[in-house]
Amino acid sequence: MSTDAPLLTSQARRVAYLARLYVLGMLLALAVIVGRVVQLKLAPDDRLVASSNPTVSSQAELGRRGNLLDRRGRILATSSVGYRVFIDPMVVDDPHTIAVDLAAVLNDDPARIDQEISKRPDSRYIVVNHLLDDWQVDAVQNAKLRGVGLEPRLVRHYPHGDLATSIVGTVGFEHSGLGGFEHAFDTTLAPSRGSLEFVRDTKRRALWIDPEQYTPAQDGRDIRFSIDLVVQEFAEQRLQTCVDEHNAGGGRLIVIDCTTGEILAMCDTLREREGWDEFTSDEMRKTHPSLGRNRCVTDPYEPGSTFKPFFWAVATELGYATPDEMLDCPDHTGHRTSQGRLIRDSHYYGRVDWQTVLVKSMNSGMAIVAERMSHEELQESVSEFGFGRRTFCGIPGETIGLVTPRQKWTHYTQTSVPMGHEIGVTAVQMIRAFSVFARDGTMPALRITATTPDSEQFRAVHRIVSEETVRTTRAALRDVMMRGTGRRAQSELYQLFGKSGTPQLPKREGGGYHEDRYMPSFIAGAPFNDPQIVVLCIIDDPDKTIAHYGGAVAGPVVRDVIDHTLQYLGVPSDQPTDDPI
Amino acid sequence: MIAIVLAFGVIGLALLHVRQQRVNLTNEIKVLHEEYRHHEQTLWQLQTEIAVRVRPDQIRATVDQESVDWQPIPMRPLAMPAADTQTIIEGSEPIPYVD
Repeated sequence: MSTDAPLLTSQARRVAYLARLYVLGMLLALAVIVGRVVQLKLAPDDRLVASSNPTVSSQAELGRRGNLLDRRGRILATSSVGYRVFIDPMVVDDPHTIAVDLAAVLNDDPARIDQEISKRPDSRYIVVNHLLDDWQVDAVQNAKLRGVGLEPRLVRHYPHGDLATSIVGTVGFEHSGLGGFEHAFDTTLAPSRGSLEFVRDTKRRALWIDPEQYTPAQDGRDIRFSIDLVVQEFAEQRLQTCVDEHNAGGGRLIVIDCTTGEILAMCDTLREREGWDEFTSDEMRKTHPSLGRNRCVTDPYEPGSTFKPFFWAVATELGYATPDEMLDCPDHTGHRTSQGRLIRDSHYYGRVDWQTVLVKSMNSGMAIVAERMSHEELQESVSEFGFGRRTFCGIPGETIGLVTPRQKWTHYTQTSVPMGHEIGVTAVQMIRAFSVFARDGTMPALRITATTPDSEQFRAVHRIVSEETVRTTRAALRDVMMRGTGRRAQSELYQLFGKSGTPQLPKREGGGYHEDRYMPSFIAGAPFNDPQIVVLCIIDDPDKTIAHYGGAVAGPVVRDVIDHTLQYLGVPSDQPTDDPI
Repeated sequence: MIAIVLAFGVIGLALLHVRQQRVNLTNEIKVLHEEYRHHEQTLWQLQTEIAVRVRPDQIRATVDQESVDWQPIPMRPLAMPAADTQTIIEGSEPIPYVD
């Protein structure tokens, strides 16, 4: 026992010494570590700072421009993401060979790329190609060329090509609307760009997003229009065929759903032809078809005899004439008004009833009844039908037409306007006014957008004439088709009611009309008992040696469009099978 | 003392682990965000391709090939009211269109 005690004491002392030494060592090591941490935190080495500090990059987030849709949801215009490729000359490994390397990747011309770089030697953003094909995007990504980057951008697509191009419009380089709907609804369609900040590593790879620094992009809103692509396509083809067949300068055509006021199709075509200088007055259309003005809303024209039904209805409504009232129309020469003005007809029928005046499109009969009416009443009726006022149909650039001011309204005006002279109307004004006869005497608000049924704007209509007057006028317009100027536009499927017009073309320099140049038009609705659509067609300056009357030139176009549209819409034929046409 | 040192060590490791998890999570968010954007852009591209391939003329050509008797879709797919349900505003101006 006595010999073991000092040994234990010595061992215990050694253990205690080693333990103290170990703890001291540990504390020293911890102190060194803490000191290093403090040193790294407070005064790190510059090289370390450069490599260890997280780098924040910002990136724009693309929002999608809204789609343009037709009434059935078919896409008229849509956007997708494409890529452009750019070079940052400050980062490239070898500025002299990058053009060759990139050209090999893109299958492009190295000289062109080198030229692009040389144009702006100090720039750090030189776009080489604004829109790459898919395979080029893959090739650039795989090539991993230093200093070459891909940038996403929006690309606008028009799946139907040039169909309805004058109303759809187009977008510019920065994806903003330049013409048509694209321009008119640019604010609604345009997206708002978002932004994103993320932390990246030294190899510029994204590590994580800073949630505080993320602003999501907002897509633009889709807009659904009242246009129906199928109707539009047929209308454009039929109009173009007519223009070509008659060697005309151009043509306009509108189809509306007369029950709602929605525009189903709107076409405006111009044709380069010797002697027809209208084309040269729309330089923007030469640049791009969608940039030209839409003449259906911008260019007034003299309606000629297609204006007669409006006066006929008003005169009948106000009691200045009844359909069976006999009028002393001339039988071989023109009619002299009370002021001595000579009114000529294309054909003379002698004493006829008021309905025949409309059916045979007799200027003399119109002038006789016009003199019974006061200037104020005629001015009021012209205004009531919406002439001289915009329709606010939603298409940009709409004009109000040309109506003689009240203070300049003369006896000459009083006898000219009822036969569609001395007045300029736009095609949309004309078709809206005519839809009164296809409805119950009310005039709808024309629209190019498809709105919800409970919209106040949708339900707002304006009464022009009584239902009885509408029935009388529509019957007279049906008579026009049966035994008047619309005979050549008769349909085998539907009972049309309509009116033709063959006004002479006014001289551009003023001072009267061309003797042998015309602007024939035809307007009609169908089916007779329950009208669903109204179609207006205007042909610019057809070759007179081929045909020039409204019923012969524009009438068949209106008939074909009505037949096609009503069949497409599933409207059953109302034509009796034994009806001799 | 050893217990304290060990406790500090464990706490340090735990903090490092939590931090690493946060980094992984935010990185995963970034990856998912990029995937989402990629899918969205693919969707836009597909919508464009569908729009091109279902043009009325192409559908018509296909239908003609198949000799199927198709019926027209009834009028007014938006279920619009008939004219007699509309409000008639006597002597008033048509309300201008405002988008």
